[in-house]
Amino acid sequence: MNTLPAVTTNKDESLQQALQRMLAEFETGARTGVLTGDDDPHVTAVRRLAPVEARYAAFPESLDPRLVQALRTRGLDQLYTHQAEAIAHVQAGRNVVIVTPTASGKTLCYNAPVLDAILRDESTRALYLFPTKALAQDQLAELHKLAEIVGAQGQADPDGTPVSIGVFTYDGDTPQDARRSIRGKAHVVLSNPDMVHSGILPHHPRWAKLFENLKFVVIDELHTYRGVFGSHLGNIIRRLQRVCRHYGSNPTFICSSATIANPRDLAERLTGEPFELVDQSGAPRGEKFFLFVNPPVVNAQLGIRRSYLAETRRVAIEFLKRGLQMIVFAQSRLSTELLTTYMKDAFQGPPGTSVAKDAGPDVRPDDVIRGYRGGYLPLRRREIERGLRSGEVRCVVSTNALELGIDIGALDVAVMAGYPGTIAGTWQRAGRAGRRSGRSAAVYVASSAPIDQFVVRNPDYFFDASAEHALVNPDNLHILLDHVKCAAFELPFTTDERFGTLNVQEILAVLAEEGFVHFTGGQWQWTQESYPADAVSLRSVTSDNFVIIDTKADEGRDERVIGETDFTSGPSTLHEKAIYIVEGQLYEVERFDYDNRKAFVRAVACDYYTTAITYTKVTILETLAGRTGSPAEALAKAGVAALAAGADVDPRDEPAEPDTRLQSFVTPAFAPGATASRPADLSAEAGAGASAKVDGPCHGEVHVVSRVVGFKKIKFYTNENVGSGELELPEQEMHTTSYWMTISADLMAALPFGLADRRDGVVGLAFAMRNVAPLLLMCDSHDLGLSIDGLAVEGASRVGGVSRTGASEAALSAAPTIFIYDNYPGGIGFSEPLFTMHADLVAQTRALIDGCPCTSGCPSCVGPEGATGPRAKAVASRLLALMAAAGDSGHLQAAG
Amino acid sequence: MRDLTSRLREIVRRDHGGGAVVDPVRELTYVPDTGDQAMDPSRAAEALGGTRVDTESGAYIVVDRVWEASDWHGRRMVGGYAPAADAPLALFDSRVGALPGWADRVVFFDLETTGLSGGAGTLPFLAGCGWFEDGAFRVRQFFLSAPAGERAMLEAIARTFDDATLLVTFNGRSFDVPLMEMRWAFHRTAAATDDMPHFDMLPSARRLWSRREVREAPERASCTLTSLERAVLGFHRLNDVPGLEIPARYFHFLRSGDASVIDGVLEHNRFDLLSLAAVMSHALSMAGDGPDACRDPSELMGLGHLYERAGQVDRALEAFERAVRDADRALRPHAAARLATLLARLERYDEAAHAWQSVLESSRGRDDAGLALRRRATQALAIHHEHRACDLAAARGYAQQLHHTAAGRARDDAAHRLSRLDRKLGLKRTADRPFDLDF
Repeated sequence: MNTLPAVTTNKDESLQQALQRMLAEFETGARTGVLTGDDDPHVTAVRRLAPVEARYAAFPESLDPRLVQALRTRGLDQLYTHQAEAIAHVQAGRNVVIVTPTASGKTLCYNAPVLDAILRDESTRALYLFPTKALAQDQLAELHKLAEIVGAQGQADPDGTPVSIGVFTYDGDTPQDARRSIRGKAHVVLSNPDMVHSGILPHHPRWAKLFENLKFVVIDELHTYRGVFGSHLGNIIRRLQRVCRHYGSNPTFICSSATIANPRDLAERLTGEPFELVDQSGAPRGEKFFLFVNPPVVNAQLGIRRSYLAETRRVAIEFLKRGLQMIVFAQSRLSTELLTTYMKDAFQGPPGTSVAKDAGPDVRPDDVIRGYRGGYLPLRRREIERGLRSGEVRCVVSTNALELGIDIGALDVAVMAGYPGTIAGTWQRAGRAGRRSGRSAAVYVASSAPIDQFVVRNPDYFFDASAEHALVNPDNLHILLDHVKCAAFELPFTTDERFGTLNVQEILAVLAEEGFVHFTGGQWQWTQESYPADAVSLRSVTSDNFVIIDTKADEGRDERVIGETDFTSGPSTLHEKAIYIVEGQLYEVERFDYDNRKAFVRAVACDYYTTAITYTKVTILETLAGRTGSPAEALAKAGVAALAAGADVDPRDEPAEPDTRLQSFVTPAFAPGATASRPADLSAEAGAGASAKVDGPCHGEVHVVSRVVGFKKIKFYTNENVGSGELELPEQEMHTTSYWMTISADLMAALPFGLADRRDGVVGLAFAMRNVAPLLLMCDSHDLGLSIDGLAVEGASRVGGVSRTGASEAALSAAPTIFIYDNYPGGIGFSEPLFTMHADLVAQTRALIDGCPCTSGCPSCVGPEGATGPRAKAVASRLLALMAAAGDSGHLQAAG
Repeated sequence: MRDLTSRLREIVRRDHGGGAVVDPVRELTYVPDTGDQAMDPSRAAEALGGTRVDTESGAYIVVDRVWEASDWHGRRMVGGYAPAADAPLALFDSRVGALPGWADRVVFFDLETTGLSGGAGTLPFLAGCGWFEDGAFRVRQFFLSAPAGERAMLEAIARTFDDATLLVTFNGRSFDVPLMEMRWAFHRTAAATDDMPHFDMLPSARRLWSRREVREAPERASCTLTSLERAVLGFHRLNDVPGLEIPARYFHFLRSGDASVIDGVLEHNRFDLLSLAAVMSHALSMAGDGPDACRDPSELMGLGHLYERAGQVDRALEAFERAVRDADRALRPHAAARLATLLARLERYDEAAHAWQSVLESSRGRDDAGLALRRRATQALAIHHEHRACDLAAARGYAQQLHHTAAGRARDDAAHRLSRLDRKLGLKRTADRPFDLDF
């Protein structure tokens, strides 16, 4: 049992020791030639980022002397160069986007020109947008302090007029009775897109004073506005700009962003305005080490590595026991809780053992090792943030919730358990350590996921590649329609009016048909009683959250809410008998009240956690592009006989699996019933049955239905499956865009493998493709979803639970289709690029599978053998070879 | 690939993927949207018996109607409802009631809107103003035949308010006036309501009449204008347009130009204005005449509440006492509790205890309200007997009852009281009771 030492006084020294210990392993490996051989190095990369000197600039003369004096009072005698540059742009009325590292003084880039303008003209107003309420609160404290000092300067100066600068947050937590006075008094309103969308814009006349005088709109953490959230924001800005025009203002935009490939692009796409880019930081940076760690292989044949969570724990303890303060990033809420539990155990004992072991006289692990994630209640989160700043909390295990700029002070080490999914996100998380000068370290511990393994084995890919592009699509019809409705509610559209640069008259005409608006007196009047913004949530499908209630919180007292979960992940984490974990405390869900969005839990002591089994079904709504050309026919001819045999059997009549409960979901792709509603121009699909279908890649619009059908109980540490259960929960639906690839029936038939093996091969192939796709798209892995259609059982969708009974030749002859869809309603623009990169996708997937050292499949290529079957790797490899061969004969040129 | 319009249609019509989108409500019989052609403001004005007004800022329709002083509304004639300068408005609202000349030109005001949600898209399409002239009640309604005329209509409303000495609404403090402020702000003009004395009848009406349905939470009791005019004025509307239907009727009119659906809305609005004037007049005269003017004990209680709030203690006591005397069994404990609370506030403790006693005697209800009332009475009596009457045995009896019926904190408090009383009485503590450290 470890004990926690006191906080070290010489952090640089302690860090050095911890690194040396880890590097010793690295160097041993290098000397013995392990690094150069085929063997698996433990530490695969060590990079030292040299310290950077500060570059300063004088305060611009144009800045109000009261502001300059206030800044000096706060200890700022000069600016960094990037701050001066940004201020100059803003003062010249140019929109600017600032991209500099964490802790480089980004906030001053907008606070200075905004306060300066308020000092010049008291009527000036500014609106700050933060992606979360917590960030706004954080910034409020800082801005408030500065504004107070500036105000005091005004009073101290005999010539100056006393100024009182109002700075307020306005969000869902703002009390109703304070709102009216904030609307009148606030010079600077700190809010979030959700509040602007549903609380400010629809009530703009109440905010007339703000909109009439709005000079600045600040968008902090710009890079978070990607995907659906960003597409919503783009439309909210369009609405904001309309309202500003109505009140005669035209604000300047100031954006700040973490490193992404296209910050200026993103800012321009979101606002429709030209931007200046400031990306040369003048801020100093301490020396930083970046290590890549790959957990050692423990079973070469199965390709099983030591658990990356255990490895993370080991790495973290190296630093922790030397008295360093650190943050550990986990990839999901569950792994956050697991790691918190594991870390506490290291100093206290495993869960279920209630007796606290000797943990040293001064420190209790419950206080110094904390978990942190979205579902925690705000008070608990504020307490943890305070603890981090004061140094009381020594280790925090967090989801990406702490990736953004919430002030948690200067930490010494950041450890990432698993690849954060994007290069930008990885740098952002690494940046939470070493915000000031002094030595710091970041460690990336790879899991066995294919993308993790790719990155850890190819460090140059990470260190040399540019960060990801943040893609948004404000013209996504679903999102656009929602916001045109909101905009029409706010101000009637005129016939010559555009929305951003879009002509929306056609949209308005359709909305008129359905009774949302009416054209009268030259304008489109909103003609609904409802308040459209209420029906549009920016973050997930619906705005409902599930709350988690501890039924035994306090004997005899009222029930207590201990957390919340967003609508989408509610069913999979809060179903009955699920284990819900908050900071290592285990709760079992006693009752899940889906309709009322509540889960009732009670604390338990057990040695397992649960994961849900989700079933996903994709139906094609419309093919936007696909290859229907001759190579398919050529292949089809080769297998005519086999097809003829299968064609007169309706696959749906065949019992696919003994479990009849699943039957209603299992509709083989392109069965006649499924095609009936599709338009006639999809000639290849219009024919009856499975035989006449598009093989090869397509992209288009799809309908995704997913449902939690069961769960498994997994033992802590060993990850043994110790039980399971079935669940009856409502479906969740979404309309999105997808890339898909159908493997022709004859190609399937041509495989020299048994039925079950062929199916396993497709599942394994899909698993690998789905993991390669984010690398090609440079997007976050969570942005994509996977589903396989046309297999008797949705193997890949039912995590690890493929049953091999009951599959029939007929069911399989319906050629399987692999869907990789945009995991957002309406889609966000990944499907079409993936479609054009199809050849690359196949080639890279082939490289991943054939290049993997395992024998018959592992989690890093086609999935673990236990889950995908013994021959999955062989079959997938063969399939890819056949596809590549078909590609060489002209197949893919037609697609490209 | 389908054309944009049909894709849009599909998205608008079908669920957006998560059930988050509200289906458009089809009002009445759905009329296909034919755009602007159907609308003819002049024809609409004629159909509604009004006049079309064109200004530089837009067009609207004005409809004028008069109820003569001798017309009947409910049990009285219209002329009798005109506000009297000496009416005790200060009992209801000390601020506006104290304004000299408030009664000179009272304008009753009521809006009909395209929704209740508020927000920039909620349009007041009909604004009714009513006032008395030589005993006759005149109503001037401003109606938007097209939303584009709103600015002109707002200007006209502002002119109507020009010489008003008091604006009277029903729930105007939270609905009509903020909505109008919003509309004026929308058009970036000063709000005509800004410095206008305003009296909202709803809170006073609640105080006076929500006791008709005896509840512990009077704010939840039904107190709509239509229920008041039935109960208080004895007026029953025929074929009234339900408020919920009003936005849909307006949308239907916009799409079809069919003014026939609006007639009923105009009438609804007019009756709201007249009844508002009548209910206010009735309330003022009841408050002026005192308990003799009340027709039932619930009104007596409401009146007592009103007097108490206005600081007229003697009149309040009289009203409550008469309410206790005249009330039926359901109401009596509530009236007695009111009386007891007021007496206690006046430090007339023995009388208060007597009133609490009658709460216990008259309260038999097994409902939550009845139980809560009995608990309050028991607690008050326990306190009274322990500290003022110094009848410890009686106090103990009440405390024991309290301990018996209470839960949670109240039960803990009762336990404390019991053990303290036991000590005072010199009784031996029972083993299961915790040692009392609070004493």
